[in-house]
Amino acid sequence: MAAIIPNFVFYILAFLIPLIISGVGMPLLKRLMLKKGKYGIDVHKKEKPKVAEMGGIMILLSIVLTTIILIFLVDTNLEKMVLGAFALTLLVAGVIGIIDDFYRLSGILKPVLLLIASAPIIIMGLIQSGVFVPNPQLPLIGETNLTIVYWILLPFVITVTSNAANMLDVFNGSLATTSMIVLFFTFFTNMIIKGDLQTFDITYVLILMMIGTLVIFWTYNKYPAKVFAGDTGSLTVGAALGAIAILGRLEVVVIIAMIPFIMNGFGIISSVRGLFERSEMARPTRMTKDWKIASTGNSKAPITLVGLIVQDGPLNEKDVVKAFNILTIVSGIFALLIAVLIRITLGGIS
Amino acid sequence: MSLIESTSKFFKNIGSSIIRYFQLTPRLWKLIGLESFIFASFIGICAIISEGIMRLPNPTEPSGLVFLYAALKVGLSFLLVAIWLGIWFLLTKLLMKNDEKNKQENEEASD
Repeated sequence: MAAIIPNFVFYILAFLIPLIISGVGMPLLKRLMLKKGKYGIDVHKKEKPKVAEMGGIMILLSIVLTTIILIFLVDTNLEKMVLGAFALTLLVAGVIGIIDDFYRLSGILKPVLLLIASAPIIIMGLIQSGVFVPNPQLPLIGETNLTIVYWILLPFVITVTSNAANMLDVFNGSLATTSMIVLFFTFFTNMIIKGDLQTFDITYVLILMMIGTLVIFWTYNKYPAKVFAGDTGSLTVGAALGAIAILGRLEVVVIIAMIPFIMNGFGIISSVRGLFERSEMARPTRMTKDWKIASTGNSKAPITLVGLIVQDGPLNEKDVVKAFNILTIVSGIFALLIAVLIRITLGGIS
Repeated sequence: MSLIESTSKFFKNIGSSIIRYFQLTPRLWKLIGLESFIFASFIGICAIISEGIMRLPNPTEPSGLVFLYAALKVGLSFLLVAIWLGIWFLLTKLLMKNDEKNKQENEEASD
């Protein structure tokens, strides 16, 4: 447990530090990016505004700086290792994102490179036992003993979640709101599975750090966006969700809470039969005359979540994001049910 | 305005904003249905593993056979997951095709 300060204060700090760092840094980053000519055109707006790119750098920076501060405040080696593994995983994913934002990595190279992002977790796990436990908990089954299979699957978890987040970051605010909903439900599933807030658990710290930075990012990325996350942001956030799943022993609940993310990614990959960059694929949506998002009806276009949402008629950008959020709330409720089932299976609730 | 009136107005506003936010829900029933299927079938798979695969008798020796049995059980579980993903993909495709068909029919009717 964090002995230096009370648990509750520690949780508040975990939320406030990244919030303050992002709050101070985001406007500076926005100005810097626009000044350096690193901006994207918001194609879903009539005015085609220039929006500062790579806002994800501030998400990454705030998490890394917060982790450095918090490492000095926790007293056990295991907690220090977990915090370190989390920050380093995000750092690797973030750096891959920065490279992608500058040089456009191919559709295959990006997920392959992201396999490296789990290396810090694996290395920390080898140095200190307990950083992650290769026994995922499943509803009705209980604790499984996957050992070798878990070690093989581990790198793919970060790759899948990072790419899934990257593929959903297509509209103003979509990445921030859906990720915050997943984190919100993950917080409560953790509470159901492991117990109340009075027992110190580093998983809450990881979740609260992410929510803290995402709240600020959302204020800049919500409709009409002033900052885009870029691949730096989406890969970092996706890696964070994957790392929380592994380090917090919440693999199943995070996967269930992320159903809309996976539905979107899975639909794209399976329908185009491979990994391609957005620019290499036919567009699933188009803008109507009144600037709503409509389906192109192109059979060669990938099956995307937005494509399925606008099948019944065009929707404006705000409503598409609302639809994403509603679907994520539904999957979050399912994650809560899974958590209750896991707790019952493990004998926590009679 | 009294305190009770302003409090009730505040809660009414919150309630109506929540209702407004979820106005899109009926439009998403097919996708919510797909999500529910994914969730329910996942629970189904867990039940099959727990009550079926996990209850298969385990040999006690030789160690090679024990390992083979354990690997077989993991393999069977992964096969179930693969079938689950396959059905998930087919349903998504079906959803897309049905919608395209309905769209075409609507366009023809309006012509």
